[in-house]
Amino acid sequence: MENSNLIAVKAFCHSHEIETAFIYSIYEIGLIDLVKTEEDDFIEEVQLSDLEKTVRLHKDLHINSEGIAAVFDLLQQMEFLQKKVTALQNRLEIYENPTDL
Amino acid sequence: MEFIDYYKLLGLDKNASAQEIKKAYRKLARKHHPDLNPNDQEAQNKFQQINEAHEVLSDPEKKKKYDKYGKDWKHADEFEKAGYDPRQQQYQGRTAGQQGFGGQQSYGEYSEEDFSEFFNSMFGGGGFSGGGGRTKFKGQDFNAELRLNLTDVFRSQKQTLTVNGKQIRLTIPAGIENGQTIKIKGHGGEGMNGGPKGDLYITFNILNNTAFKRDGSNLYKEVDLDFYKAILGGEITVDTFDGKVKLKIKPETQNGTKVKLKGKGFPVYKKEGQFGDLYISYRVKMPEKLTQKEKELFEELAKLR
Repeated sequence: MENSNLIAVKAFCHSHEIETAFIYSIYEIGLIDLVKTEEDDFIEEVQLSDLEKTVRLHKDLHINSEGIAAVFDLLQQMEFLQKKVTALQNRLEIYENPTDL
Repeated sequence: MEFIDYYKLLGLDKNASAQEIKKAYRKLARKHHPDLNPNDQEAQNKFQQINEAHEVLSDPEKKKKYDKYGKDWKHADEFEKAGYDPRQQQYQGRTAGQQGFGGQQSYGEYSEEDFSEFFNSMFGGGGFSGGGGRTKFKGQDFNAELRLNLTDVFRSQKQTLTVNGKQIRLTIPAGIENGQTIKIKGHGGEGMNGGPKGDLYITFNILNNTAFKRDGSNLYKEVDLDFYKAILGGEITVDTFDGKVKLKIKPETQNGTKVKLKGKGFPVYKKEGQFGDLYISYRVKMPEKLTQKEKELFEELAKLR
């Protein structure tokens, strides 16, 4: 494959010393997309960061693909809530220091 | 380097079984895993320590040495060759005092400082390990804080930051929030075993150096309004964030009346050309030091009501 933005699944697995079955399991769960061609299956470079995170969670914490999907959902919620907290803290300052208004 | 009691770190006593060590490690690894604690340097450090502890205590040979020699376990072979017994704290025939046990401890050709070198070589001085030590691991994430004035983030701007001696060119998008963190991929610590570099997280600390109050992309400002203009109506000039606008004042405008100036607020983050609104709140100023004539006229007005 000539496109440098694609990484072969096999090459990724070899580099990270993981089974290809793991990649297909998180693909089936919808955590990543694969580019499937006749010659091979590929991972888009933009997905590498998330994919490497799944590999770390799998290898470090022995979490299966369903568990990783749940972790990703919760991390997204955490990020959303963190942003909301920041926005609310900034809004609170308007009321805590009303003399300047 | 500060000595870390691996048993204490994992919440175990020295008689812990292999199963208990594994269980304690897994529990703490889940709690402090860097991917589950983004932007948390403390968790990252803790995770590294837990891995160090597990690396040693899960290996029967290393555990045996650690149990016998404690913090100096990695020099166990040297000690044994030299006939050192940690319980007597002496080499063959020589006392600890002669070897200089006060201050920095010295055993043969090693010093206490070598302790950290061992882990640097094992863990690459950062990042985290899966316990195997052979897999590729992402480098340590770095955290930095950038202080800017509110006026600085009204327009997107390019800045060059120096982080750990490296220059990073960064475009700060207009409208970034106070307390917001952005990730600069690949500008963290070096990866381990050829793993990717960590990321750099920059948290923005934005000081409001203006008379405006900011809530997201909306701005708020209180403007003094002359009593007579409030009663009779007229026109005033108001400062917006980047200029001035003329506003018509309706007759009989009440104190605290709010007007919205659409699109005169702060830029919407990462939405070029979009702006929030500016809310002006009128503060009607009563006349002071009235003359006798003015008082009489006000009395006359009062009688008309």
